[in-house]
Amino acid sequence: MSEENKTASSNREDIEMLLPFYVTGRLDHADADQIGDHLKRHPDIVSQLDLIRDERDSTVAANAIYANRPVRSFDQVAAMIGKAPVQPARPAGRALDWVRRLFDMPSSPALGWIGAAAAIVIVLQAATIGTLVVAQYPGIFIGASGGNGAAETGTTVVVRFADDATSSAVADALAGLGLKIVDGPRGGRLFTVRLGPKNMNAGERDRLIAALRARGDVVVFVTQMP
Amino acid sequence: MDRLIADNELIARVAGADSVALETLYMRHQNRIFGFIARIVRDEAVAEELTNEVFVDVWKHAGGYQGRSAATTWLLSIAHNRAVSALRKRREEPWDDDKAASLLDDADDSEVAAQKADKSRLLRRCIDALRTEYREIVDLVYFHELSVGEASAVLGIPEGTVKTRLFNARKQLSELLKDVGVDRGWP
Repeated sequence: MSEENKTASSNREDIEMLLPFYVTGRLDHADADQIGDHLKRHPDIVSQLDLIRDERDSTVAANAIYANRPVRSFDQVAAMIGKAPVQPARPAGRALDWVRRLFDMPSSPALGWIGAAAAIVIVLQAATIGTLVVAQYPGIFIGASGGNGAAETGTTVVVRFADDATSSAVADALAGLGLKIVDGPRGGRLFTVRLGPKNMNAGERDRLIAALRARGDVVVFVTQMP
Repeated sequence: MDRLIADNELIARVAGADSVALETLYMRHQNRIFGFIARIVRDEAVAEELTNEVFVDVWKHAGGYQGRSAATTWLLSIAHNRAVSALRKRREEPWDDDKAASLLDDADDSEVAAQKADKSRLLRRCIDALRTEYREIVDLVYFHELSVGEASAVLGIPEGTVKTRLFNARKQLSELLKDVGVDRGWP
């Protein structure tokens, strides 16, 4: 291989190594621009982006299984550091239920401001990822208090909404397709959206997934759960 | 929104022996940390214990956190060290190719054939069959959405190694897929 070809090959490999970060949006502007320019000049590499998106979607689905774990109380850690937990132990519940309860909860003297702070940060953590819909658009959520897990609610997908998506845009996107959120946020950012009954038509399922993916203004990605 | 307490501030409070700040961090990050560890050790009971130990480490070492990296990155780095240490204690080879790939061997031909019809499910299975260090970098980049620098900080390896490790992970993924009859045309 000539020196020139070696350099080109090495350059291509350097670019390929950065493509996953390009897809996840975790490159700085200079690197992202460099990749963008390279992709324009070498369209043969563009197909790799689809492979990477598939990898990303499957990785998210694999991780989402764990992220759905019910929230654990702080009791054990408190015992390990020799301190009593401030908040009373809560029954295991799903994050969405807890968020919903907090919005319903008046300022609770029993909780105390310190305990409330813990609660508020979790609510607001959710709020930063487009979940103000919880408070403002309860119509797009399926009532889940004490309800079944997402797997029992029909055919579902995991959706990551754009960090800067407005609550109204998320609500509009879902309502326009007749969809509702049944669970989330999992792992801080992922929501389970119900597409239809468990035995729904595969064509209709794929149509809805494609429609969600087409809403690139509010949806980062959609992946089917195992 | 104004009352959102930043992770960095919480860690500073933890350094001052504020257990409520630790509880807040715990409630905020426990599932992310648990999932990350569970994917490495492949044992949920062990992952539960290690998750608690991570937050005990935070309690003990919060004073050493200088805010140079995001709090999430710092927590994941503690979790990484805990998980790798646990694997070593179990006397398992953490980066054992054969053990990981055997996940695929468990599937019989008919199962693999059925999965071919569902490419994403097969891809998921192959990701799970990656050797541990590859699966970990894939999780960090695709699920936890870390940058090169952040992944470098979590794993304690140079940034160049982060990029090559992920690249090699993707190559192994292609090989695993090829083993079950799916050629995705790369590399």
